[in-house]
Amino acid sequence: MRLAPYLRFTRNSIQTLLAYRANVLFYIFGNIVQTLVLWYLWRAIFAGSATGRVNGFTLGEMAAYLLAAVAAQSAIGGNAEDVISDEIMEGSIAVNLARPLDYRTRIFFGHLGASLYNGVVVSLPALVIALAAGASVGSSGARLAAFGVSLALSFALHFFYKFMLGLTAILTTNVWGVFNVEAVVSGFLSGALVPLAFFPEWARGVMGLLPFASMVSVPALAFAGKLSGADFARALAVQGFWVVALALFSSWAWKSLVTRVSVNGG
Amino acid sequence: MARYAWLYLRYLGQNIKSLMSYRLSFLVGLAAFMARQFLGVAFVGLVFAAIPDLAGWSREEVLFVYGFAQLGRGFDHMFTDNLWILAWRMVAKGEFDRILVRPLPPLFQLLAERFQTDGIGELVAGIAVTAWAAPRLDFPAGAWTPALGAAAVLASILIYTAVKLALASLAFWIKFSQSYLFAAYKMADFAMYPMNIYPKALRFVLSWALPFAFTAYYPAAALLGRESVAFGIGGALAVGFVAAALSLLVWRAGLRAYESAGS
Repeated sequence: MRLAPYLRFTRNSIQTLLAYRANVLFYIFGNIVQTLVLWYLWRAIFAGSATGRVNGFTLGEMAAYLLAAVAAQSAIGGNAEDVISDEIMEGSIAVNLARPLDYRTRIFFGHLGASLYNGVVVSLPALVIALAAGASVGSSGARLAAFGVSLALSFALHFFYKFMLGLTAILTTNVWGVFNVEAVVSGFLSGALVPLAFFPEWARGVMGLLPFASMVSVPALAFAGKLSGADFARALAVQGFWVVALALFSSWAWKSLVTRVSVNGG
Repeated sequence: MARYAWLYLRYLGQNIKSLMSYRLSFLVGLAAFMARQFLGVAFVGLVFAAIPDLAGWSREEVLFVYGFAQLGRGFDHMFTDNLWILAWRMVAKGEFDRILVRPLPPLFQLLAERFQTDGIGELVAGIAVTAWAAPRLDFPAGAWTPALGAAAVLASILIYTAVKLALASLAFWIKFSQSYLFAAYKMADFAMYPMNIYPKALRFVLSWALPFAFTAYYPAAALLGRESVAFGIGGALAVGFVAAALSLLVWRAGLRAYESAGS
């Protein structure tokens, strides 16, 4: 497969996002606010603890965890689900299916561009502000490397997941509602708001069976230095399993749903 | 007045008809907002499983503030959601013309055109959380508490609607102001937790610039006896009415500045 035509979609998606610079500023601002709410909340939570440790986390580890979670969330964020659902609702998917390009590959490269953009432009300012507000992060090269490896797997499995999410536009017109539920539920189950260690035993059991923890919790824990070598290897294996499982499942969902696309007019 | 009430009900009837044709969408939207609120509660629950209090606030108090914050927000969401559409595309696409050619006040038409059932999800969750927390707390105002609470919810609706109206009206000049609304709503997230966990500068902004602290925190603190009623409830009402008046001025100026889209 030649990559050049697909890479254009990556570049294009970054350029589109950069074109609306004023909007970008506001999204950056929104992300900063969200990060700050979390940071102040956790600072107050730790201030209330007699030992300075909460569920095995020190405040420094928690800061590292939260910032890594913010970075991971935006770096895997992408926009595959928005692009797919827009195309389905506008009907432009019909033209795009007729093009001599593989639909899913094309969406992947666009998604990659949006993720790169989010990871750099949107999350960096939030991280800088949080650090300025007093969140201190001690980290080493090894931990950064572990974060990177795990993040690459998160990105892959998250893409397949988002691809399937976009396909829900074939089933319902209120994709806005679906994406909203999804954002809230996955934000919670992925450990983006609260590390999984805070959940009761039974809930952790359930979450262990779902792919969400592999999206944010694993890279964030790796960055905060909360995973030993053996635990990290096991977590990577689980992430790998989800990449394969979601890839297969999304192929199946695509094949069975694409025939049901109905486009209005023209 | 009776005429407007009758007209509003006619608009509402049309809205409900269109909801009936998208029943799944309706349920999804409702579920979305309820899920968001209940996960917020679960978050507070998880945190309090690990610590005894948050900056001097008990779990019941924090949940009371949290639930209370959803009440005004939910009401506002139900009745004024079309302002988001104004900020998003009505001005940019010239759709606002439709409203100007009809013989009814533009603001009435704009608000009546859309009834957002998603807000019911927020409201139900807010009522449930507040109703869970309230019996577990002491209210020094005693029998006056429900009346004071109702006044505070009114103030909260006024503040949310005013911020939304003022920022959405900016679209009359800049065509697309949804990103301003988005940013303001992010700021409102601060208001769900006790203000004393935030630094002074931020508290100042949330009290006097974008006064979301008056939508829930100060009134709830007043009901719990942590602030005076005069400041917490009276202040909220004053801020609410002033904000509403200012936003109406911005709206009026915006109407005068509106020029339809080309072509």
